[in-house]
Amino acid sequence: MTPGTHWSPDWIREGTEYVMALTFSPDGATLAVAQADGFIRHLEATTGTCLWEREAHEYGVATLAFSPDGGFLLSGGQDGLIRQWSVESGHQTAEYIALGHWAEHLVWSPDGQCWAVSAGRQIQAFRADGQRLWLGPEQASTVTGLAWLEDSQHLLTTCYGGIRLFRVGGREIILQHEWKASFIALALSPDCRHVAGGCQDASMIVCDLLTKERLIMSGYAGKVANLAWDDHSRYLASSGNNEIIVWDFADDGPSGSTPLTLDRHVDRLSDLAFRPGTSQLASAGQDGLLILWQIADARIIRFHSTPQPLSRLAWHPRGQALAIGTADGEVRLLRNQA
Amino acid sequence: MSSQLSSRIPVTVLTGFLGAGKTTLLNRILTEHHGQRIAVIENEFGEIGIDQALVIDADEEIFEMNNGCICCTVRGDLIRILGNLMRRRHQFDAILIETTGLADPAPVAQTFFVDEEIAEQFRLDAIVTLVDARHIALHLDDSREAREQIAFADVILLNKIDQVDVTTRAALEQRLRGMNALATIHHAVHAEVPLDAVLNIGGFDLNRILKQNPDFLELEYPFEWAGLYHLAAGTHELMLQHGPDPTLKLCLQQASQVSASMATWQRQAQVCFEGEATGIQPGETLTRTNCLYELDLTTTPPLHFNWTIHTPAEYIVFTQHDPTEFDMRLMFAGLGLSPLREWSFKPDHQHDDQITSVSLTAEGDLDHSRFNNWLGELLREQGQSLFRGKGIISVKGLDKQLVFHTVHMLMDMQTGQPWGDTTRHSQLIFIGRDLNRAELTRGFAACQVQS
Repeated sequence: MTPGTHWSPDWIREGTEYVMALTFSPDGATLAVAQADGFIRHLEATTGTCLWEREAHEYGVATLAFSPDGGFLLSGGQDGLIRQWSVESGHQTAEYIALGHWAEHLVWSPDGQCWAVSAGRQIQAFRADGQRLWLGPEQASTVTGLAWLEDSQHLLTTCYGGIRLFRVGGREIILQHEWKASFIALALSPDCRHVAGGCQDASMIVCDLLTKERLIMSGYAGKVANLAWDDHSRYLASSGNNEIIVWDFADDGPSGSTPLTLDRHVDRLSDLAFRPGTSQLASAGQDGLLILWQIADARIIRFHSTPQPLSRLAWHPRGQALAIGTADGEVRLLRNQA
Repeated sequence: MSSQLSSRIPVTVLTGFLGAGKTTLLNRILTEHHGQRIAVIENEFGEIGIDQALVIDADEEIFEMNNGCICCTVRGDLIRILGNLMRRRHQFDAILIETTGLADPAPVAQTFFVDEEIAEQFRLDAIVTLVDARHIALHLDDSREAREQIAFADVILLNKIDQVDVTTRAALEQRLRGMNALATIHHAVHAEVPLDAVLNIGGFDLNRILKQNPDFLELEYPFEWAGLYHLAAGTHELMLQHGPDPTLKLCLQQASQVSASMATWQRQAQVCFEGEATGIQPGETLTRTNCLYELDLTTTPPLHFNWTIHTPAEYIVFTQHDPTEFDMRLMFAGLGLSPLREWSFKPDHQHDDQITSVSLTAEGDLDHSRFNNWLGELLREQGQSLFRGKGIISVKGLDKQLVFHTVHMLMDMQTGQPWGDTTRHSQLIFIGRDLNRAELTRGFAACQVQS
């Protein structure tokens, strides 16, 4: 492995509270940051200048999602509420009750017409105009992952005991992969063929939604808390402790193959994400390291290090820049110079 | 408390059967003006709704970390919730986890060992078991969960104590003590206890427990009495009458040979009492020290035994039962001898409950690797029946105390305070089901560094 080149940040914005969520606006011009003190900050992506900030949720913000048109921002809080903010003004324009203690997962449908939220065991779907479409059946346990299928009609969930598929509007489970494990991460491949679930018992399950077959990958160094697919649905990156394991789904798939192990971090991984449109993987760790990997030849392209543990990373929608957040509330922007 | 303990957020686990008063206690803790910020993780059927504290529902997801090993079952939901709370850790001073009435405390406790991330940020401060004084006896008879909740406890709150009479209270306390010698027992009415009896008590800190309750490590001995005599050379006579038992075991030790204290003699006697006894009939002679004799007291009294002393010195006699029950007298040349000193010991109760505590002590140092091997093997092989263990160990070559605690097969060990001027010694205690006291004592004794 070549050492790669050091990556210097365009800007650093200081903070004090754990960065819980970090996301670029759909046009990449701004960046929303959610912190453990319940504040949301809306930053200009090129400079880091704060456009507005709001104390959004008591007990902290858990998740953020921009509407696909970039008009508003949804935030899910540990106060059990979902709030809608005008991106332009920062004013609150709507509020929804999550029906659970922590509104942890917010996802927009691929067609941009509706969004789904999970809080505790409850899942719901709302139309973009705020009307509730669906109150899903109570799940067996706290929902730890939520993803839409490409038809914008079906939702996948993970919770203790399995991966389940529901049709929005229906009550019954359409497909269920039962597995007696505590799931903590969910990632659906962009082609909607495979769904991966990371488990606390240091294993990962990948289900083929077409053939209903499933693969169980065990032997991770720790709980599998981070999962990421590349845009071409070829690579699935996963992490257990400080190790990144990348599975190749080309041709016959990963069954029986040896995955790629990227072993450079010295502490647990906090986040993983492929650069949009590429097979370059960004990994952020508790060790304060951000590494950009080229998966094809397992090479480090760039790295950046901070004195604080990293908590989140987010790619610019077209991969032009990368934002990272730290456990101590800092946000840094790294521009992709290549 | 040592620094490495205090930097982690303390977590209190509240267990107890339905109706024991957990909700009352929780409400009390949450509404009292104690100035502490507490996050409560409650079970699904909890009934509290408190504005000023953060209350989080748990799912009680129990799963096995290492395929099939029940000793590694943990609570997945707690890992997630605590992992989340960790991100705003300065918002809380303490965390309280309420478990369901029938919960086995092990998965909750084990969560704090098994998940590295959790172990780094949180420390299990104490398991507090709430008990309904009126009903617990029944629960202990019927329910394995109730017995395990007692076995796991650092603190037992005997609630509704006003509803039982003094005799019942005493019997109950003795029974609980027999199962768990480690726990601090508090009495309460309407779950009214000082907050510092429940929160942030350093339940795993043996030093602190010893400070509060210095006698708790007092062993339950296989003997009830010891007497120190100065004996001249020659044949002494031991005279007894019929007593409550047909035999009496005793062992003799030359006390002046060892410069150590009573603790050493006790330990030697204990080892002695665990061995095979040599049967002795009236008229026969006892000659050896450090040998367990069993006197046959079935013949017609008076029952005379001879005891030959070769070296004039101080000797100590340990007897299985209180010798006054047998009117035991030691005579030399026709004169009765009185002990220079005598001691009484708490007898080794034969409990009905299979759950007991065994404590072990040793003066001086232990050999680090022998101790590690012994403890490791013990936890591997008997971890399932060992609920809790705590210890402070003096290891040869280490100027600090080694402090550990265990839950089933899992162990947390770290260095504690420096020994400084204090006498180096090791103390440990295990609470478990069907513990073999003799085997534990032998194994532990073999870890000692011979001086």
